[in-house]
Amino acid sequence: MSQCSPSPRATFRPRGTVAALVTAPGAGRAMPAEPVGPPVAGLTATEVDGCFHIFNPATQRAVALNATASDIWRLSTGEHDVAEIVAILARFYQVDGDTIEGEVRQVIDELAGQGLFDVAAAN
Amino acid sequence: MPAGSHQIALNLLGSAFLVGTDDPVTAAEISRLWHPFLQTEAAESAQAVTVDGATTSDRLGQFATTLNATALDAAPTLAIHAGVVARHGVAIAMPASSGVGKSTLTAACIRRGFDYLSDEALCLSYQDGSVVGYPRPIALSAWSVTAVHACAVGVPVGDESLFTADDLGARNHLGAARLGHVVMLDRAGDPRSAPSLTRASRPDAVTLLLRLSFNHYRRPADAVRLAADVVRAADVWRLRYGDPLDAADLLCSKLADGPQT
Repeated sequence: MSQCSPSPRATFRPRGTVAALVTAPGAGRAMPAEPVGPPVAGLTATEVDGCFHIFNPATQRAVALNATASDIWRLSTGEHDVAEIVAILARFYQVDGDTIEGEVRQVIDELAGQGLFDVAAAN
Repeated sequence: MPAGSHQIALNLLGSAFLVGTDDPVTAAEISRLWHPFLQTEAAESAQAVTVDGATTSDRLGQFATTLNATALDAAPTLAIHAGVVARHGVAIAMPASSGVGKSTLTAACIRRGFDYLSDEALCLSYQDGSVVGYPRPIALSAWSVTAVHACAVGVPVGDESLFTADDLGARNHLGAARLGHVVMLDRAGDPRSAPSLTRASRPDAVTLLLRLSFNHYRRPADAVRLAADVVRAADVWRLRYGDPLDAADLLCSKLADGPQT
């Protein structure tokens, strides 16, 4: 582990847990065209007070997520695309989707850049 | 076998050393300063360390640096840069990088009645998360000696002096301790400003512990899990302070009875 970096972070304010807004994909639900995630196998993810620290053995790096980035991580299961994640978070945080879309995309890009998503599984 | 007519067996955090020197003064100081680590005989696996140099100060300084780096890197625990003290078996860890004032604050705390675990490393057992003491000699600058009102004269090593806990009127904590508090340090610009202790973020504490670890790379996934586990069970604070003894008084009054969750 070369370092434990503080990114990615998003800045909109959390108001509880996003898990309550996530509905499990039911039978007949179409898979998203461009899913976010799922996490690559072999990660160590620990959660403290709603925030994840994730160690990726492939890169030997640990990443610290703040509360909102952790919500995005929870939704990055391969069952949602970016638009769905933005919609879920906008509803949860009671903000306009357009307001947070840029930050959500940025966090997802950073998570992907850290090698945390299984690209093969997503395709 | 190391060179030298005086031989001293030590064990620091599971690393065995056989130390040799021809200088009886150096040998006596090593035996006194590192007495918590003395062994009656050297283990077969002991690393040979020959202590030499122009002066006792040179010899002890080089020895302290080599021993510390070797022991922490090889420690079977997760070793994190921090000062650590305890009261009633509950440890308070003060993680910080070099130069922040860990040793001075640690010395101030033991001057105020805490037991000493380390001025250098928080050592956490991978088995159960308990804190293992690493009571190496406390290294204080001349400013720090004055700031903590140390009565004893330390052993000069470079710009600092080395003290045992006993030199500062305290005792080493023997056996394991439970990590009750993580205190993140924030030095105030004005040394006369009153200290304050406020609740702080547990996730930030996990990040700090991992950033300040000496040997996380040996077991990185376990290190992340362990740091999270111990912080989850502890209280996390931010201490803003100017005067170390005032800060120690505050820690003593607020945290001496263990976790407050």
